Amino acid sequence: MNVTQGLKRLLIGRKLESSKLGQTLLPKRIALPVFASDALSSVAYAPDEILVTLSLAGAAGYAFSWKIGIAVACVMLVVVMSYRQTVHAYPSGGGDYEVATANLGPNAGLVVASALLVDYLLTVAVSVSSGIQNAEAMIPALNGHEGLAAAGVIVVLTGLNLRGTRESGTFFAIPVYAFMVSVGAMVIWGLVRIFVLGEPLRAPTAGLVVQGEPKYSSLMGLAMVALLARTFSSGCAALTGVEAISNGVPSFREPKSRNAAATLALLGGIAVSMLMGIIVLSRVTGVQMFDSMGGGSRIIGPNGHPLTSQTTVVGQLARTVFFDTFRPGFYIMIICTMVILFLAANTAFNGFPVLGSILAKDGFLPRQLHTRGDRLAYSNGIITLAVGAAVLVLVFNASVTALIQLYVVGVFISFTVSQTGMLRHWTRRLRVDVRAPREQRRSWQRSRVINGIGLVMTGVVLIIILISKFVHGAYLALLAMAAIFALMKAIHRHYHKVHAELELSDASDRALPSRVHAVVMVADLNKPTMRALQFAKATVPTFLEAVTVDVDPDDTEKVLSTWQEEEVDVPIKVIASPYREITNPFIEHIRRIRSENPRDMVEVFIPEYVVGHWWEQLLHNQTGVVIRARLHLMPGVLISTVPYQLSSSRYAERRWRRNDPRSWRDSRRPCGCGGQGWPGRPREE
Amino acid sequence: MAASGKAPGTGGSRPRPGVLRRVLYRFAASNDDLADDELRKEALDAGASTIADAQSRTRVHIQGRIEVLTLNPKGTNRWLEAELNDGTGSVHLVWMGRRRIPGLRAGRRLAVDGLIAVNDGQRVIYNPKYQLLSD
Repeated sequence: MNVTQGLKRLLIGRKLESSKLGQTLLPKRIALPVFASDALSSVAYAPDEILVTLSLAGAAGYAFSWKIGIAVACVMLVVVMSYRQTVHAYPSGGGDYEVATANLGPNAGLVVASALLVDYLLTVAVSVSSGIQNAEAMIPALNGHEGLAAAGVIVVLTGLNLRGTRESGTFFAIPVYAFMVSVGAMVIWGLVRIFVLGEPLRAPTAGLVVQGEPKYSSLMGLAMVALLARTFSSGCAALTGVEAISNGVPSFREPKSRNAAATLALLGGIAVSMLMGIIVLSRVTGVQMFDSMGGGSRIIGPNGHPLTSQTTVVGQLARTVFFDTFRPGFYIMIICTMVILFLAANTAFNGFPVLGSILAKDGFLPRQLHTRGDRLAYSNGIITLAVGAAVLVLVFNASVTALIQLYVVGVFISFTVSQTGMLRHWTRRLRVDVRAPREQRRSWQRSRVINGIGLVMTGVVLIIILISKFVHGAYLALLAMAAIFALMKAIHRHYHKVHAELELSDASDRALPSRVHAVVMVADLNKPTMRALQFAKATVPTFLEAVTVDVDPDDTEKVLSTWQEEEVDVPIKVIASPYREITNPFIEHIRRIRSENPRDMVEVFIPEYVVGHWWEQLLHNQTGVVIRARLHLMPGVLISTVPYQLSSSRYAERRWRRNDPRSWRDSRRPCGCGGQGWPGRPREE
Repeated sequence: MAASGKAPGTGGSRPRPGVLRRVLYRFAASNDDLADDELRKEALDAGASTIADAQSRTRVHIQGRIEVLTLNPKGTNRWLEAELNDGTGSVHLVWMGRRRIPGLRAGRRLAVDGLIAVNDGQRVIYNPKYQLLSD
């Protein structure tokens, strides 16, 4: 037990047996927080982005906030309705990827997959950044160090996920419910104070002068339409995470589909009312935001200078509503917001590795992503996600406003594609099962209509998002998706090619080698060489010879004389080496043996010293390594390494037994598992 | 008569290829080819015939370098075997009843006289007369 290992056990935990992978089924009240944290958390930043974008039109722009809110809420409800159809039709948890692959073919599946992979990455980056921004309302010292703080949070999340958060249902439930309750309490208490008690609550930024961009300030014409479109697209961030439930259907208690659909409806209702509540309250209290990144708008502070930093909408509202009457409420609100945002990032840590492992299983990503680590989590996927997200937050300095421009595109691409898939699914159902009962057919037709509306809606939103956000950063997300798509295609093509190449085809693949020609490589006649000779003899080859390369005549002479003294009963060949090299003459010799009869098998025995430390490795076995590498390229040659354990090798043995970080786990090992949701995807029909 | 750069001829009857061709050949040929050429040239200069041209069951005088020397252990056939290469091909030399020949080692240049035979598709000279050449 050494220090690094102790540290790893402390942070990650003991390794778990495969049998521990049993799936815990979640009741609805736990499933809601587990899957909804992503969708609900976006109400923490969606209103901010709406207000920030509207601020470009000056103070008057904020008047549009609740209209935008309603539009977003409508889209949300339609998407939730559509996904309720999906969970009924595809209860296996494959989600959009499965829907697209099954109905529209593998390419559509890959489009969805690459869009989702990019979006998971952005979910982590956006949620963590937003959490940090909220924390600033409480800890102003964070200001200016957002990027590093966000990266730190990502590291902590990675650690937690490598530990495996499978028993964490309740751990999720508390902060999510606390967040719902505190947002509800804040909205209701705020509205009660204003309208019932008649207190004129004003946000800290209310009434300050807002300077927008001149081209938007007329509130007319194309510019305004473009601005509203951009605002709407930013607000659509509230929709991310809705698809999480459709991926998690297998984790629900029976009846799975019905429970999942109910949870979805609940989620939609709660998210919409929270979003609208916050937007209305911020409108009433006069919350104002400005664009701190692009600098398109600014707020002139009370001292006549523009503000340099701002708190989030939730932060401002909590301060306005709770700070004077019920101060703990302010802190609870901020802490809950922060925690739920980090939990939202955590859902991506569940989704990304599972999607990655499914893609790896289908041969679109490296197989390592399909292996479970010490703690039964998909460690490689988790680390990939963490590294990607950390790079993003550092590059964008954890600015939500900048990151949100890249966000949402992927979600809506996958929404649109999967709605198309669902439409086809119902159409085919109706066409194939003509004799299904009338009621059944009617419900299919209803589902088809719902998914059709969903397709139109998400398609329109996608177009709006693409047009309004493309130049502001969405192109980066699209480029990333295209790159991932191409990469997955290439990986798949490679795996496919290798598979085709390795398949048994003609009789020569099954032919037995006619004779075995064993060659023992001799550099010196000592214990390892003698062991290699004896082992070679024990395999009873047709021919056996020892080969030494004559690099130094004196050494060769010594070997030959010991050979005679020891009375070794194996013929030894001395190969001339006019250029003092070992590898080439030896390889050439093997090649000559090969070409004499190609159906012979040549078995090369190479004695190897096994040492305990890496620096000893540098001092030994170097020729053997090169020769092995060259012989690997020759067909019909079997390379047998005969290890001889030097006394120092016990250190290595001890090290490996203690801990084996490089141990390879078989990804295809059957375990009656569904991972964190998705068992093998049964193809439909 | 076109001279091919590499075709092994017998002695001086072969016309020399043009200068340009020789330069090009030396530039493009591999290290092994050049080494083979040198061996062949030395053998021809010393008045020996080449292995590639040697007819089975004729007496030949050839000169080349030992590529592989095989020592057989006690209890098996008491033969010393060597593989001689002169740049055009290789021939097995077998000395029956000898365990070692002092001075005969891998890489040694050697001139041998003997009756060439073909055994298993491989040229062999049994018990050749040999002359060790200085390196």
